[in-house]
Amino acid sequence: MEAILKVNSISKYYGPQIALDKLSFDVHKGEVIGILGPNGSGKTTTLSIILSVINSSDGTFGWFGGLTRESANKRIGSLLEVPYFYPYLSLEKNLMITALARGAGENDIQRVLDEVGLLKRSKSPFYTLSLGMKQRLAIASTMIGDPEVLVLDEPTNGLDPEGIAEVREIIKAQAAKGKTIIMASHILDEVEKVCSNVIILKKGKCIASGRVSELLNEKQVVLVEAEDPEILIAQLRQNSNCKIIDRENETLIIEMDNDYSPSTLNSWLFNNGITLKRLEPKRRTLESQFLELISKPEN
Amino acid sequence: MKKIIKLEFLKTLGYPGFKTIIILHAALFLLVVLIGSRINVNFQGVKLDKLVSFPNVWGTFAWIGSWFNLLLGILFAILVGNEHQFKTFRKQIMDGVSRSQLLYAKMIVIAVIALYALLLVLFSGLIFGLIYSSNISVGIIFDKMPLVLVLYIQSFAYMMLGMLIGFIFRTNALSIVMFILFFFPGEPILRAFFPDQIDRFFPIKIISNLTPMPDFLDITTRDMIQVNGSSPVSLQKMGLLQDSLSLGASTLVCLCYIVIFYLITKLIVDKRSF
Repeated sequence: MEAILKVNSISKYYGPQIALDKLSFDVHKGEVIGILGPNGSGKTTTLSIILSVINSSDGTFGWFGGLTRESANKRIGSLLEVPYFYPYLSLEKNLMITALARGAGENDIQRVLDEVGLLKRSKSPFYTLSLGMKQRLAIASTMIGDPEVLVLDEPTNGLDPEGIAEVREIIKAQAAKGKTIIMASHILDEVEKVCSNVIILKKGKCIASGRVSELLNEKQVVLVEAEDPEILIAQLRQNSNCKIIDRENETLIIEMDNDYSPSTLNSWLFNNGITLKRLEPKRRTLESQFLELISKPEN
Repeated sequence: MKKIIKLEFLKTLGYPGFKTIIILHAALFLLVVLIGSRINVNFQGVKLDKLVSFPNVWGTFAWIGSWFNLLLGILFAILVGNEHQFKTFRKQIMDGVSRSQLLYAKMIVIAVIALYALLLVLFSGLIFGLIYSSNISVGIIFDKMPLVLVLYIQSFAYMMLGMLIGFIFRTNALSIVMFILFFFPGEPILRAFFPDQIDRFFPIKIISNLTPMPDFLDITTRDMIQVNGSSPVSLQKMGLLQDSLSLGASTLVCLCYIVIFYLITKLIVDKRSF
């Protein structure tokens, strides 16, 4: 399948500071890509470059097989950092500006305002809105003209739990319609629930990428407990199929190879004189995987 | 492009500061000409009416109108500063407006505001001229009217300069201060280092010279001089009016400056990370 977006080795330098270092990835139609990384890892810089807001220092990118940047951006609904609107204009007029910029119909405005629950405030000036409402308006503006691609930078920023849930449903609904979504987020739970693919950045470099399901299945995690934790630790260190990654009081968290089952571990320990009082497979979350990747020293 | 122009007018006309400055511009100009036209000078032979009657009303009103054109330049520095502050240039690029369109749309607004400034002076000049002139003919109405028409080019040039300064400095406060300082005393100080043949070509000098101060003494005392038959006097002959380029030459150089302001602005807009 032809890629909707091709990013080829883009870099961005601010003097000696490297914001992005030879980042490459492709996005195909219908994919929901999560871009993860700690603060300063280059997520917003990446989105800014692919939206042509800032120029890359090196590398190239192309949308929709080589459209001009302006034509491409008209087919993308985007939200970058914070909502950018004219404070003195009403919500309706601000969205009219978005519609005019995208060449979209103005009759979409009522629909998108209704979807984010701001229809009653359509005549209010933007400056009168709370932070959460401003963020909803920003999300509404991404949907003007029903674009085929959404690029979202921290879409749940500033929202209360109810708002976060609503945005998650909006994104899921858009994904279900077959939209292509590129989303930068700190909320790993969101990314895990919504995204099909993930790119993890650290200090401007991609340190991991792939399907979310593959990233989660890389290793299996098991919780084990025995009468004497020290003897258990000593025994586990002799097993090359597993690795102790953490300890909480008497409970050890161990990571095992995918082809080494918990029952095999239990049998091996029993044969070595250790009877486990707890053996609990734990589903690896994206958060634990992400934190482990981020904490790895750079090669 | 039509939608982009509509977008530009939507945000400009919706800005409360825009309406305030335009109203202030019109009000100040009309007040000055109204009050100025009512000044009485009790000196035999001196007729101030001559300044507001045809054909001299054009030169007088063009000169007075030029004082307030600076407001329009400042207005554009503010409009561009706002876009940087609100990051709305960024939003429009994200939504598919090209950098060239951003610039052209602003220039179209400049063209429309310059037209407003011209029409304000034209209509008020026409009205005052009809009120204060004793002998009215089509010829005398249109005599010296080009002095007002260049006001359009002057307004355009000031607003292009304001826009350029807004793009360079990005914040409202700094842009306004730099615009004013550039006008005075910035350029006059710089000009002091150059001989007359060069200093007359500096941008503010050229732009402001499109609407030179009328020779008040010559205009108001012309009848007296003729009656008494004594030598004509004028600010020009007294050396109180500076020698400058002809109107045609000044207009041409001003147009070149407009092109230069556009090219520098375009370079900034094309290269800038918004």
